[in-house]
Amino acid sequence: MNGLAIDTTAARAPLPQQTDATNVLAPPKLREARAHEVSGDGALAFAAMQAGMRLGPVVWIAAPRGEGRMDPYGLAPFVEPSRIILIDAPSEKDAFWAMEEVLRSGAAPTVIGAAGTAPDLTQSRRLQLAAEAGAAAAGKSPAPLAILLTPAGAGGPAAETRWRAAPQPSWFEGLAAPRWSWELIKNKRGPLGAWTIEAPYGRNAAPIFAAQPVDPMRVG
Amino acid sequence: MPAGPEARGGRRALVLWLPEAAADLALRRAPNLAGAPLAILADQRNARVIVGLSATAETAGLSHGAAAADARALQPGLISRPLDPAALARLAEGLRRWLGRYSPWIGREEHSPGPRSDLSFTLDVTGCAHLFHGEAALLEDMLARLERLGLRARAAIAESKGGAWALARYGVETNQPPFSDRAFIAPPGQLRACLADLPPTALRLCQETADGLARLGIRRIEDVAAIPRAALARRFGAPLCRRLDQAFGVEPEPIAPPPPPFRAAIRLAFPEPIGLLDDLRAGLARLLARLVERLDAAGLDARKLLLELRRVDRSDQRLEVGLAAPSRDAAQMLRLFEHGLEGVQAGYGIDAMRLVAREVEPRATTQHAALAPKTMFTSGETTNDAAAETAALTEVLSHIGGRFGFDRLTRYVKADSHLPEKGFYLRSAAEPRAEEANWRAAARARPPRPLIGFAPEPIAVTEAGVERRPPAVFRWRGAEHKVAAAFGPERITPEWWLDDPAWRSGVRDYWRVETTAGRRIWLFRLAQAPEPAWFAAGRFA
Repeated sequence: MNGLAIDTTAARAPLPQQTDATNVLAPPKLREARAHEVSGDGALAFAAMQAGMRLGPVVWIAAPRGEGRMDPYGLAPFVEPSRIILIDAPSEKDAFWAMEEVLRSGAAPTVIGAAGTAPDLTQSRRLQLAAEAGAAAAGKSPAPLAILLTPAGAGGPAAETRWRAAPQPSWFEGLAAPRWSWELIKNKRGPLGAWTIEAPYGRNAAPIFAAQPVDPMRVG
Repeated sequence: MPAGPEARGGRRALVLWLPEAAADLALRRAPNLAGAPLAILADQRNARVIVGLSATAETAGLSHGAAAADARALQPGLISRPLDPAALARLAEGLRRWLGRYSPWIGREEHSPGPRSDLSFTLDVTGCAHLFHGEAALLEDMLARLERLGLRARAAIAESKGGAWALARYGVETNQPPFSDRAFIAPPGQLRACLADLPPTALRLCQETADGLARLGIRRIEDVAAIPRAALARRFGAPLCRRLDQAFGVEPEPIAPPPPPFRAAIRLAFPEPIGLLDDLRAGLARLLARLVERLDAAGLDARKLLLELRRVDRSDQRLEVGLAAPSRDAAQMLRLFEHGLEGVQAGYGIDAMRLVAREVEPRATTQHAALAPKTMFTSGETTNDAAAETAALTEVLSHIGGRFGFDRLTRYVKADSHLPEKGFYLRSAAEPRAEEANWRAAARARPPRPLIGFAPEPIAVTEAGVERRPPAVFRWRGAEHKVAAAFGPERITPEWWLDDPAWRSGVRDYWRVETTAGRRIWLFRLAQAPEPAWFAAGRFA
């Protein structure tokens, strides 16, 4: 893998099951058949980037308490908006129910949940089980994974990984190359870590994101 | 053997013409207007013109195609109503079914060109007239009934559709007794004589041809028919000759009824009332299998299904399911009903089930996988996989849509506007996708847009001199932000052709600012405000 975010040649190649901290180029990938959580100001971009690194339809489930409308022109550098199916759940409980249903069907490889709250133990556990059932239902297709956008400091106990994503000041030229920091603050099987993600973000830039593991000494 | 027209193998066509269908319909709806001068108005070629008149308005000297303003000057007491095409269509549908009492073979309704709101039906009455004791009695009966309904009508029977059409509209002037002034019958073999004195417009000519004939001083059909064919075709083209032949019945013109609408309602009655869930499921499976068979035969897919369960005590229960994509998969439909079936109260038992396809759509054809063009990345196998994947997604979306409502399942669709919040809209994911949008290219064509956009939130700015550049420090959402870099301005002007309350404040200058903490926020300033007014409208990360 050469680490391109949108790599059609890797159409159905199995995605690496471990986040690869040694590769300086590929942004870390999420484990399939699991539910992951992300919080922070950069959570939306994190979810969009992770969806962009995967193939197939993206089901984006949101509960009513949203910040605003996601702009497809703003999403386009991260993930092709025509792949996204938005589900506007009437309540938080319904949002978790819908996530579970989509995961269990195995029909959509990426399910993003912006319920506005963190799942409780039962919901969190149920999502994991649904993701596992979905992996069995998906067969040869990529197994589904869930990304939950949770409020800062909260999280479901059963989450496979938990991330903290925050936008970082650009190195140079102001907004020409936005950067984010991705911190892995919980990982059920594997080490923790931190990455800096950089996108040559501009009018004509290809949507390529490069990742760099941050020196563990600096993460603190 | 009777020497009737049928015996000689001649066909008989009946044309019924309701010259003022829209006006009569308006009067039927408002009986208190009876006798008042009433005009039906419609917009034609950028003008409000009269397309329909009541009898009183017609005798008052108003005419079709006249401008509404002129007509009001002529007749100050004129009452006007806008043309209601939907109501006219409903009337046409109702009349078409009613006309089935005279003949089983009824063509599509027609409208005259030009400023008219009329209806015209063609019936094949070959072999039907003797049931009404002859053609004259049939016409009398039909017109009398229509008159009782308050509909002015004219009708004619002739050997050809074209001939009957001409006589129904223009036959009155040349009518002879014993027929009333609203009906005309061309006896078999005398059609040409009956048509002879009618004006050439009775041949269903286009305006250009009719004007051309009038310029030559040709005022009767007989005069047209007398001109040698070759000259006529050279001067006016083949369509005129064709119309002439159709009117005289030389060239056959079929009467084509519209296809019957597809109705899929299947019922199943039980000898003994049932109450077990498994029995209901089995009954539904049987209904679904028959429904799918019928859908297959018609080349349709179901979009919405209704299941009615009749209980022994005559109370009905109804279950409705919608499908996120049109389908003909009985197993999938059965699974969608599963949730509803569990909630059914059987009471003393259910003795009948009825399944209705409430909404159907023509089936979208897909290319067979074996024939699909093969590229490096798609082998035949993966194409099948992709189809299966879509079906699975459709099913789960149907399930969620059934609970949340399908309007909550949406997809982005491009819109034709430069305003940030109007550059796209959300359309129900259940609707068929028009085309694969390439958002990436579209996004590249405009300046960067935020990931999330919200309604403008005022930001607190304390410093002065922020008319030309964004502030160095501002407070927003309870926190202080220091600006490290700013890109802009991008000037966005309102759509002046639309009055959008959100954009009444005028032109905006948008800036992308990055704070020292790394947050990227979309700010704008009201360019036309006397005091610098700054707002946050979105964020990039």
